[in-house]
Amino acid sequence: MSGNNDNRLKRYDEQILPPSFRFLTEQQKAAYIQHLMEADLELRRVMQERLGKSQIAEQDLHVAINMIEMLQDERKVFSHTAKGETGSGTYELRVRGGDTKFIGSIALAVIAVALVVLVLIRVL
Amino acid sequence: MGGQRNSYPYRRSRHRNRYYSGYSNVSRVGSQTRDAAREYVRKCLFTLDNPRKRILFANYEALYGKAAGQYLRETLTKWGTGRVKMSDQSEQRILECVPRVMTVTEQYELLVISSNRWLRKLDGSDARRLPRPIGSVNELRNVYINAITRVISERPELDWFVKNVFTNEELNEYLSCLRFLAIQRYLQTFRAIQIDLASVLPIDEIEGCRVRSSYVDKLTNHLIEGVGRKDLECAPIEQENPIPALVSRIGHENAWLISERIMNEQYAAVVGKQTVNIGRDDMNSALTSLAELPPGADYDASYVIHGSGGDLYVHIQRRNVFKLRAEIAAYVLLQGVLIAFSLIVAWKMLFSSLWHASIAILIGVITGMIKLQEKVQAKKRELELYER
Repeated sequence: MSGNNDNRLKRYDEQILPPSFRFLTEQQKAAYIQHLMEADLELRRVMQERLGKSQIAEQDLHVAINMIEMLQDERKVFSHTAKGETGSGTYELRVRGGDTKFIGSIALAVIAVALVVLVLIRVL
Repeated sequence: MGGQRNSYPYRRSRHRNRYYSGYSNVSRVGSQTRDAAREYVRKCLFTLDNPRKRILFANYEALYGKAAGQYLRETLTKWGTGRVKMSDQSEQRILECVPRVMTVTEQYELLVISSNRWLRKLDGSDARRLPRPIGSVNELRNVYINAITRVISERPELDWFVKNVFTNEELNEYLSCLRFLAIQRYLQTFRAIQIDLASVLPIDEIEGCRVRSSYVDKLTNHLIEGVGRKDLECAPIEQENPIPALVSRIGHENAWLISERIMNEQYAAVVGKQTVNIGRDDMNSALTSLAELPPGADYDASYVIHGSGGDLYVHIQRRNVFKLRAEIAAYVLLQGVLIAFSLIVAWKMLFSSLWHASIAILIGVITGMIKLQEKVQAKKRELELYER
């Protein structure tokens, strides 16, 4: 057990063992190294998973942007929201476009002018 | 994400061997801590093995007399099943006697439970509270320095029945361990915050876009709005933190507590650092994608990156400047039309029997004008930001 323990310890020589390590009993040292090895494996697993998520998010974003470009090319007024999870957190993208001729603003102005004209005709 | 961050394998119950100290029980907060310590003593009372039970009975009898000892022997099982409720006097006596017959590991667990309130206070955070706003990383640095000073100067309030079973040297050693861990945690978290910001923040200026970043540190729960390049210049915290000598009866338990805690923090730091690197790549890739968006499109992109010191929130906003100008012009025109319209109507009505209606119309128009003006101002402010 002790020899096995020493071998494991050598593997972690490069890592910074906590300063309290020397105060541990042999049994505790063995348990600590066991945990360290498990943490190493878990770290690799978690990072692989996160990288995978990020790649999926990147793909999703590309798809969303291609769709937006298509809508823009078709000169459609659109509003699109894309939400997702990346390996490092979350993202949310809201895009509004297609109103290349400022239809909204012009419509507002036309309504206002029409209102004035209508009132003036009726009043005067 | 949150779930993954707590997925340290050695925190799972199957990994909690007899050295597991229960330090992570710090989530038991405030007033519950005292009850938790009492509850732990009760739990130990009902799981005592026969030799320790005999010692307990002997001690109890010696302290409180033969009748009290006899009562304990007869009632112990009934207390356990809940058939008889423990009186306050009996509880005090149990608290006095039981910790003395506990194993060292159990006594240590009791010590940890009893100091949880202090540990929680040192953390200075409460997950239920909203993050407190703070001006910059420099100010946050002062918060951390003050917290470290508090750790050095304060002593935890331990329950009397916990103090009974430890010598002053043992309590001092444990206290030194807690201080070492608390300071270590503050130093490591502040270092992690700086690494998080240095890794991601260079993306703070994008042409034609408005970028707002904020950071919430997870240890003290502070929110820094408008975090930017200036925050990268903040100096690290210089504080010596030597490990105490762990030589008392509970030295090994203390050593395990420190080792396990440091391992958890090192693991979290590595995960956080690598996650931030993934976050930086995510952001770069997202910015490349956003640049492909049609020039006329408005967008709001929000990113949350979970770093090792806290969470970084990045909001990128792009507006079509011509569209903004057109909107302002339309609103101004609408204002003018509304004024003209209402004045004409009011003028006509003023000389008729409907004069009170004209006053109502004028009030309505003024209110509408104020709202429109607010909208115009907001749009103008937004325009200024993009024209700058």
